[in-house]
Amino acid sequence: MIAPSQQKVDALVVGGGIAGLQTALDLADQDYKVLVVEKEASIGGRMIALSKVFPTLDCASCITTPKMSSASRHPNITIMTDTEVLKVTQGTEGKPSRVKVRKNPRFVDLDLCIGCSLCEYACPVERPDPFEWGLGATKAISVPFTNAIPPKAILDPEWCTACGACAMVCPTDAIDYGERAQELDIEAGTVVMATGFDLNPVTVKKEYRASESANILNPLELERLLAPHGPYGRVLRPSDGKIPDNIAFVLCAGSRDKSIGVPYCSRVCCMYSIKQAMLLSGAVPMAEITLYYMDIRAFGKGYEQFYQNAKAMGITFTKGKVARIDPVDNDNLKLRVESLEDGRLLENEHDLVILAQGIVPRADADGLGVVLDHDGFVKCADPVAPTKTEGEGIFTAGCAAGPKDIVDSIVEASAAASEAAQHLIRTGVVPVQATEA
Amino acid sequence: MVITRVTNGYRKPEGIDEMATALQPELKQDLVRYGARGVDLCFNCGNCTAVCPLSLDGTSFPRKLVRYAQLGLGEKLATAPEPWLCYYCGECSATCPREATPGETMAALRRYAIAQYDPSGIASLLYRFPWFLVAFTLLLGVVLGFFHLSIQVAKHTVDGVTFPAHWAAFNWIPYETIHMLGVFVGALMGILVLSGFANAARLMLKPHGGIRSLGKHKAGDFGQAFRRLGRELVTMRRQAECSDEGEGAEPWYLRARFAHGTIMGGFMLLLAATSLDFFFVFLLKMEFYGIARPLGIIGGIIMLYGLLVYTWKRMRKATPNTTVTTPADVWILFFLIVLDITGFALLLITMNQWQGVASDVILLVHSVMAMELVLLFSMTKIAHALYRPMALYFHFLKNPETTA
Repeated sequence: MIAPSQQKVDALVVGGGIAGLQTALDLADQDYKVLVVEKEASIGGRMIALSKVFPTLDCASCITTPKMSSASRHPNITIMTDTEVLKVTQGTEGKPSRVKVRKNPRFVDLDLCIGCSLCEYACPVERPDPFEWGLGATKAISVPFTNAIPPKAILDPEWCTACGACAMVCPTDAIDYGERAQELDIEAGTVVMATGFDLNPVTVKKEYRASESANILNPLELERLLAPHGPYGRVLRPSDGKIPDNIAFVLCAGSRDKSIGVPYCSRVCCMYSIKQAMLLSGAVPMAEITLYYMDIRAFGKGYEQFYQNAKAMGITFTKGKVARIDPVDNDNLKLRVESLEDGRLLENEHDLVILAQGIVPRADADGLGVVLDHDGFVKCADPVAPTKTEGEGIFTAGCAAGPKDIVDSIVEASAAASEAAQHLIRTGVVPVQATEA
Repeated sequence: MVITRVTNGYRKPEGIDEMATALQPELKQDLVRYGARGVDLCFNCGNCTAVCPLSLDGTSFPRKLVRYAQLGLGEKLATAPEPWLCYYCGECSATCPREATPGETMAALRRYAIAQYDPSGIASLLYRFPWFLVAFTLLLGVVLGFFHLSIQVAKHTVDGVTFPAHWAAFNWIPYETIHMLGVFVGALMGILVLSGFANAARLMLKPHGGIRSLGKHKAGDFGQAFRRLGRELVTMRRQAECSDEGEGAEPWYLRARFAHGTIMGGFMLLLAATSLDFFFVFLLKMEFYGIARPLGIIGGIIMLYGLLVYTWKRMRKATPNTTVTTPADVWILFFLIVLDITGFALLLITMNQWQGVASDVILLVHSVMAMELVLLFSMTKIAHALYRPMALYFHFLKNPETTA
């Protein structure tokens, strides 16, 4: 948890999501000193916000939380949250890379904070909870989410009124309104970019008019609605709190579409949509659920069976790309699509629509000094070593390198750790025995 | 190569009905020459059909037609009225996930349809080979020009000035020459238009069971469809639904519907002026220009406005429906603009009684180009004035209750 006094590490992992954590754990288990740099207030990445995973329908946080916990307690791993990477400069001829980072103020001293949440109870300001995509509310100072690591408070200066209520109740005097950002230069024997992904915004296809309706959700918002500890505790549609009974999934809503600049397949949308449809048919058993798709790409182990199960459960699959979504009465939405099975032109009304937005590279991954591909993901230099980037000693894993599911991300993370370890051996970095637990 | 195949109770692939269907594997390459360059890119998602405000359940396009093109179903394309139901706003092309330009394919299919309707086979050459369009236009111009110039003119008097007998070249071409040639050209055009019209009707009725299918309709249906057609031709209400016409589009005076209205309206006024001129001056031998001339001037001005808007839009290439300009598009704009401008020049010449080589050349150019335009009426882009109303009529007849 502590910012390193030594500014030299064996390996620096950018991103504390599932790929970054797996890479860090694999390297740390080989006795390399690893620093994980995470931009957000907690590690866990996208996966910790998911409800369940396909195709096993296992609980997502039951897989992520132990990894987060292991990483945070590992003697060879240091985690810096609230920290952005500004620039990665590759080290040539066996020299270490240099990474410039900025530790953003949290306004809470992580050494002092004990995560008691008294500040959160005292804070009078409510704000949209970013972890819940604004579907729920939280306080201006709060622990990011229930199983956050570190499980400590963060103050949002955008909302804070500096009333002092939190500072008064804090038992350890951890709140520091005057904290400033701090820049650090770190020397790292190897760097692994695991910066993850963004969702293509739901407003990207203007014919879907997503900005005009509260009942058009992105898939990560639906994950929160489906999660047992989600904002409503059950699945309700945002506009009026009604239990939805005719739900549409629009696949390829933000990918495989040159007209919105994302021509590639984002690989996970088919499966997460099928998974969400299955979970919804459990959460709202009376609801009609329709998936509008161009092709179902169920390519992984057990995925095709998963798809067939969804069909057998009574989920409707309609082949055709939705071209228009128009708001109609009662906050409902009318979808216009040509059914490619019989050539009919359908205008179907639904009360909740989920746009299966594709995965796009994180906007802030650009300009870090890593060579990117034409589609904006980190460029892989060697087709037979997909975790190698153009930079010497810089590797990549997970969705930073291209869209992939959790299983593939974890596999790639271990591959990146292996490549990174080889690089460290080649450049003469010797693993140190852990001296303390 | 034509593959004829009969489906024997198997599940029918899309676009194949019970009849033997001729597949033309070379059709796709042929359509590229007509301008359908994106057919191969299409992965049949149906976005274009569903985004089109004019596409209806039962009369859907463009994806179905793109599919026909991919499968090489030439007969399906030649008999389809759908290309004429599209006004090409370009929203399908703008939102196409594959950038397969379905709107441009529809435009190419209109050219293909005109070529199929045309019994002379010339239209097909005009669209597929730009050099043929240029060569044929020039050749026709030379032939018509030859007739204009080679006729010897007897001694005659114009406005008190007596001219000796001379060759028509490089002097005022006599009205009679132009008129007689005009009648001949008009008669030829009549034959071409009528045969093209009959062909188009035969083809468009084919999918419904031919001319006999008209017997299924009640007598009132024909009148009702005709009234709706008339209203549509005057107001072009269907086009108002297109995406380039609504809020947030260009100002009304730059929109396609308005610009087209000015061209069509100008054309109609000029037609009226010519008819009045023919009636008063040629038949009644009266020197009366009081109605025809103002009508012609107004028609010429508003038509020129529309033509310039279209030209400017095509040069600006800001919208999907103006990015591709084919030789056939250039041809029609060029002809109408030159005719419009030389028409005004001739007005000045006659009003001021200017004489000389320049006046003669202008008259020659105007007269020859006007005759070419008339002669090629059923083959060039202007043939849409014949076939779009026909397709709309059958559409209204087939869908009596729809308002679109």
